[in-house]
Amino acid sequence: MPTGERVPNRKWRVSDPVDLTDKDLLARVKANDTIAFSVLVDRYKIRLFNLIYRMLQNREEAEDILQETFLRVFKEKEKYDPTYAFSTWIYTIALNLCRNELKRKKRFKFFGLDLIKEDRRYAVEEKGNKNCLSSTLEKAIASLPVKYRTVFLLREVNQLSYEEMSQSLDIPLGTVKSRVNRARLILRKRLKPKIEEQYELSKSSPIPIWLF
Amino acid sequence: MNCRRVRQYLFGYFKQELPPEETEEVRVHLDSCPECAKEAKEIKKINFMLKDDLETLVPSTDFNEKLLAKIQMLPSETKEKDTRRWWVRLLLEVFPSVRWRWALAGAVSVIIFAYAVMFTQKQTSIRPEFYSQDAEKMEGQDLVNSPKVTDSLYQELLERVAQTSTLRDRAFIIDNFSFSASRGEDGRIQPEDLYKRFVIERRSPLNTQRGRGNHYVLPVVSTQPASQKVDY
Repeated sequence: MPTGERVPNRKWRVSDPVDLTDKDLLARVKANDTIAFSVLVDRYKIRLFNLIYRMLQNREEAEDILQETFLRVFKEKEKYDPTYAFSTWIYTIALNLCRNELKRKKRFKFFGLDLIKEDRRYAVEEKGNKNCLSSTLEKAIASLPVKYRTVFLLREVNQLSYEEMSQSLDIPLGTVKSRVNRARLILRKRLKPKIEEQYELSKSSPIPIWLF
Repeated sequence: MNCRRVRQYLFGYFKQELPPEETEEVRVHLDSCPECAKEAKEIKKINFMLKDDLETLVPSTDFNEKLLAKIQMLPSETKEKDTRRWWVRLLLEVFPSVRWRWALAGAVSVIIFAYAVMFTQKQTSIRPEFYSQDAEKMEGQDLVNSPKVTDSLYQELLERVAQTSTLRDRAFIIDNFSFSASRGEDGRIQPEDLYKRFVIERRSPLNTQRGRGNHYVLPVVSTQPASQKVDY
């Protein structure tokens, strides 16, 4: 029997779940691995939360929808079609839930910057909060009509490719591109008077979103 | 490229979303058009804002906990119900409601019961299978009824012979009770099929010959041992 250093048997090496791909994690989740599920949740929760919160303009609702998104992922894990990327799938779910929630609430598709002042009042009551959604830029984004706000956030905040957006929204690629462009131009218009002011007021930059 | 078009492309230009020719066209235009150059600066600022000024929003710290708690509360997924045998599923599809199933069970049990009844009846009845058609040719024979014989099958045979119209008025000598089994194809005796062979012979008026007997083979169920031979 040869002595010497034991070489770990490759067959039994257990991979750290953090290193696994989304699809591999999902496979584990199907086998009731809750740790794998937590890893998956941590991977996507901040990205999705930023999207959902900015879509709904309400923190509580956003958390509910975020939770519901992950619950759906878990409940329908067998129905996932592997020809699509996992991220496409989870974005689809999140976007559908947002859309339904917005319809349900019958929010105004379009609300001027004035209306958002009311939200600021509400936002101040949140504990120890910096009024994250009350900056000029946030307000301007919030004022975009839903269709434009969706694609704008997906592109600029979540940094999805046009392809992914087309798949998640089930919209032709050309439509996505033109909507993004239109959204940007609307935003530009809204921000016109405020740019100089905002730029001078901005403090130390927070951590960029796409690192998450 | 005119100013209006350039303004449409400015965002894409700074985000490197434009194909090379258009990128070049915009660049050239910006070099020469101060209005558009100013606009370009604004766009650049907006892009910076989008990078730097949007705060990263974070869900509450107990989010994962609450989510996992809800996951635990989901109805546990049992194994696929469709692992039931195909005939079970088919049956349940055809008879979905409980009432139908009881009716089906009732019908099935009735059928089984009826068959059992028929089957056992058949087995206890002994029907003489006439081996030979010569019975009708027999004339005026005395029925020998030996009291010594206790074999119940013999008794029964007598009864049946008496009942059988073609045999009734004729006398038969019944001889040679033998406990025989049928022969299988290879000539060997199969114990499963038990027969009693009754040799029914014709007694000639001259009491001389024993004619060749006509053998009546009766299938029996009972395993009564053969009685002794009857001598006549």
